[in-house]
Amino acid sequence: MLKYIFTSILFLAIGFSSFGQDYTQPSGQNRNGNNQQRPEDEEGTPRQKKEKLPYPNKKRGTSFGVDITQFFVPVFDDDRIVAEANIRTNFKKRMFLTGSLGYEKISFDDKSYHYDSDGVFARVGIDYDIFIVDEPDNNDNILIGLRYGMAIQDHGSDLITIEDGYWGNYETSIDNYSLNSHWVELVAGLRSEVLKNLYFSWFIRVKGKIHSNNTEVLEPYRIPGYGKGANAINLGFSYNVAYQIPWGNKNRKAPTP
Amino acid sequence: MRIRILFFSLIFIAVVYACTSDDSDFCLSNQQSVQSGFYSSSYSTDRDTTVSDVVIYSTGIDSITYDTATVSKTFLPLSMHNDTSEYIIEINKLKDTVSFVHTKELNFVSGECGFIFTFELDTILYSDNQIIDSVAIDYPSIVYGENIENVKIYLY
Repeated sequence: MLKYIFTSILFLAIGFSSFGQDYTQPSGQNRNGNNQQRPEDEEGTPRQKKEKLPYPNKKRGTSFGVDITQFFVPVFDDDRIVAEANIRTNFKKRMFLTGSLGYEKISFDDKSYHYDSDGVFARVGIDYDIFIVDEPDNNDNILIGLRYGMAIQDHGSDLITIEDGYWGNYETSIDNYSLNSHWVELVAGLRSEVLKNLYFSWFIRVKGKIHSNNTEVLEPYRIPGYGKGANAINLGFSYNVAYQIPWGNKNRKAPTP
Repeated sequence: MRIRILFFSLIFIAVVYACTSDDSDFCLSNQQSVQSGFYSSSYSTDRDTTVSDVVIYSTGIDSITYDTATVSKTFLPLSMHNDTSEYIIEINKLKDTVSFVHTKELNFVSGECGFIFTFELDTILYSDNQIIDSVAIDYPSIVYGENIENVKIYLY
């Protein structure tokens, strides 16, 4: 149920963030304030060709942050502890190199088996900014990107109970062992500078598993950084708070008074 | 326009998320049973037979699997503790014994459903004193979720 509430809130949040912000200029004007011909002006009059805006000089730098959604994981699921830190740096004018490191621990004993898993994960990838706005000091980004993820975890079960009402329950265990998993992610999200050099961002992640080894005996209940181990595709959400150390901004145009 | 495309893409993704991450697995019983059908040995071709007043139990177990039942097939649980599961089949006070010799392998079903054993029937030992003519293995694997007759028991 919490998942559906969360998804509903996400819908609303996306809705407000999308429609609540007006990136357009008053009717009849383009972003530069020039008069723009409207389609219904005069029949037969050819439309003016849309002016393609150049990508603005946004502030560059390297940012360090954390995914704050992971702090709330124990609220929804008290079997799990997750932490994730990330880094992002400008690679080209509108491209970013990103990376993250994280840790996930899961432990439960309320099913027909006990389960323990400890693991670390890493993601590397690139983001591309598709947000072009001619507004001084607007350093916001709408990002689409690709990630490669990898996790190494130790997992096992110290008690497996198979219920049998006739011959009697059977108990066994599986010693902890290591396995690793690989996946790719398509990401899309928004990043905004809320205070000077302080950025908030959120991302939706579509994750596709490439491979997990050693899953014959015990499939991982969750793969750190990926999600449910049994799913070929998982979806994720992250909300990052990051501080950016600016660099390479000498040629940026000073804001007009 | 781009914002709208992104917005609707995110709605699509969120809906897919809601569908794909459902935790409610449907779990079957973790107890695995050999499915045995009764057949008449009087015919040259297999004809299943419904038998009444059937009592099936195992030595050393208090509960009775079938108690004066009318059945054409039976589901007999296999022991996870031993390599042999022995049952006494009693029909109209006439008795015979069937012993299923099997191997087992632990398999993981899912995060929600846990583990089961997959059994493989190796041999069936039986007495043919009063009611059983012969016993044949038709499908030796007892696999979680499968509904296939494993053994044919031919009755006099």
